[in-house]
Amino acid sequence: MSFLKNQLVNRFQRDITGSIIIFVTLMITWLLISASIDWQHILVGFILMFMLTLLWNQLTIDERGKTKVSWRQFKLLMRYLFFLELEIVIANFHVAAIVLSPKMPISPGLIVLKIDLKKDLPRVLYANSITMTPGTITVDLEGDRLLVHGMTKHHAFGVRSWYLYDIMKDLEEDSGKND
Amino acid sequence: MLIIRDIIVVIFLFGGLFFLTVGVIGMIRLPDVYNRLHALGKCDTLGSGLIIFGMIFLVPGMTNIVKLLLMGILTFTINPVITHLITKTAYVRGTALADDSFVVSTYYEEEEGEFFMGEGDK
Repeated sequence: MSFLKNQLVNRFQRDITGSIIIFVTLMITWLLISASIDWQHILVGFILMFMLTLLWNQLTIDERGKTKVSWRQFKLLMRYLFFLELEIVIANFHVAAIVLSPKMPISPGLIVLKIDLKKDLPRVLYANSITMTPGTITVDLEGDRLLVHGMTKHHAFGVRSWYLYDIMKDLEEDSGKND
Repeated sequence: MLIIRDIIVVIFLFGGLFFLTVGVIGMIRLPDVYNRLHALGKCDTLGSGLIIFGMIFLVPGMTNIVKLLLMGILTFTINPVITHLITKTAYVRGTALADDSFVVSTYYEEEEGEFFMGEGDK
């Protein structure tokens, strides 16, 4: 019991905004999936989501600090996701054009890339974005260096100056945990 | 009205089918593991995403739509991670690249103005 109490106090003292965000997100998902507003559903959902929020205490991605939410960060994130979607569609057409053309104009290779992102979450997001977009796959992420495999020379070198990187850099600068 | 809906659904489904087909053709035609993963990792993401998006118009009820959306989000998050894992495993094991591929194992440091050795020397 004292363990639970410690968890509770610890969690809510450290990061009250993050807890509320996690709780609300889980609750909305629960209500949408269970698709009924009985009091039983709400009660069970409330208890389960409360326990999950407590357990999340152990799983924080960011070691220090509280979650900050700012409007600018939200706008930047939306912009990032929009351009990411666009790039994914373009990437697919590039790959389709390469695969379906009879001569298959590929010149594959590995390239090393330096990224200047400090936190873990933006790094992982950026690496995954590189994997999803034109002709490039992240092979390895070690410190601040990315090893990228490119399908053609043009794609591989193009990733060195990519405009999504600037948005991600902006995003990291005024971010808390939730970017 | 139903016909318009069906046309939209069919466009999305066939788009998804096209990209999945391109993924399979790419897996057969391309030379090595890394290049094959280019075709599979990208085309499967968009292909299954389009099919899921097309199904959203067909299913009845909020619950099913939410489930489909969750499936879409999971696909879009898991697919690059798995692609990255397979590629990294292949790289760590020392799988050979295709014949005429290039390796750039340096990067340019702008502040110091010189080249540094990187991870990529194999």
